[in-house]
Amino acid sequence: MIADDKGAVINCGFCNETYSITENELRAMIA
Amino acid sequence: MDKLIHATAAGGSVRVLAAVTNGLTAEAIRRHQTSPTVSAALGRMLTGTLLLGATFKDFDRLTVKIECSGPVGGITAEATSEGTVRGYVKNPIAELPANSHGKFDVKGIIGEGTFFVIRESGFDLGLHREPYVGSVPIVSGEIAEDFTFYLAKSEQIPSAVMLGVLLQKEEPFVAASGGIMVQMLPGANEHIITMIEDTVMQAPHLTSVIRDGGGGEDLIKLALGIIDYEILEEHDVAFKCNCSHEKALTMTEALGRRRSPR
Repeated sequence: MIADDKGAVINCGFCNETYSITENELRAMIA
Repeated sequence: MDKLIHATAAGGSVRVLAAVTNGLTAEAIRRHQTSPTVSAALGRMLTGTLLLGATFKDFDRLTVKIECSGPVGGITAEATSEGTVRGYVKNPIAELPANSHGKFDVKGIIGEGTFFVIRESGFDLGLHREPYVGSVPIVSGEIAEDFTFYLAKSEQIPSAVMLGVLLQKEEPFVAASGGIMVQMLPGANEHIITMIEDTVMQAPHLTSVIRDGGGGEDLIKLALGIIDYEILEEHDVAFKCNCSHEKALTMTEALGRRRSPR
């Protein structure tokens, strides 16, 4: 899911831990 | 610290595993915010999967999965050969009134379905072997009986499995959690089997032993009664997930550019 700050959050179903991925990390992926 | 203990009896013809899992069940409940009945079901699954994993010599990851029609929707537990386990349920807030015995209606929230066991190995060697997958219909829904049925049908190992979770109102909400798995190996004679069956039938519930401070060896004595046993090993077990920020990045990247934000 894309958050308002244009970063993303991803949730691990096994442990319910949430990881925030910053906009810069997302940009680096598509660069 | 939660412990799993492995023992043999009757000249190696009986294998006994016992685990006290208060901590890992409490951790799973905390993480998934499960209802009381789902908490009991998840704790039993995590414990049963650890016990089953400890009986296999050659595996990297053991997954036990229940796909079911009841309100919980499904439960998955995954154990490693290092004694870690993680798990989840499809509907953590599923709940039903207590059953006619005044116990959590685990059978009711599971309903009908299929019990899967998936064993994967070869990761550490860089091999990608086909996983071994076994499945049986859910015969009970109380989980311990389903492990027993799986072992009898799919592995041809006559077994007795006991799993229990006792909850309390105060944090960490788990007063006792644990399990015992007794397996009759080739050579187990009828007399020994009858003795163990009688002992198990008359034994107090394992959660009362754990609640009163009993450990893994006390659980083994509960299952074996007067039969001598030899402890082979004892090791720590814990709830542990292998997810990480790096893996989250890799997964996001795997979604592909077309689904990436513009």
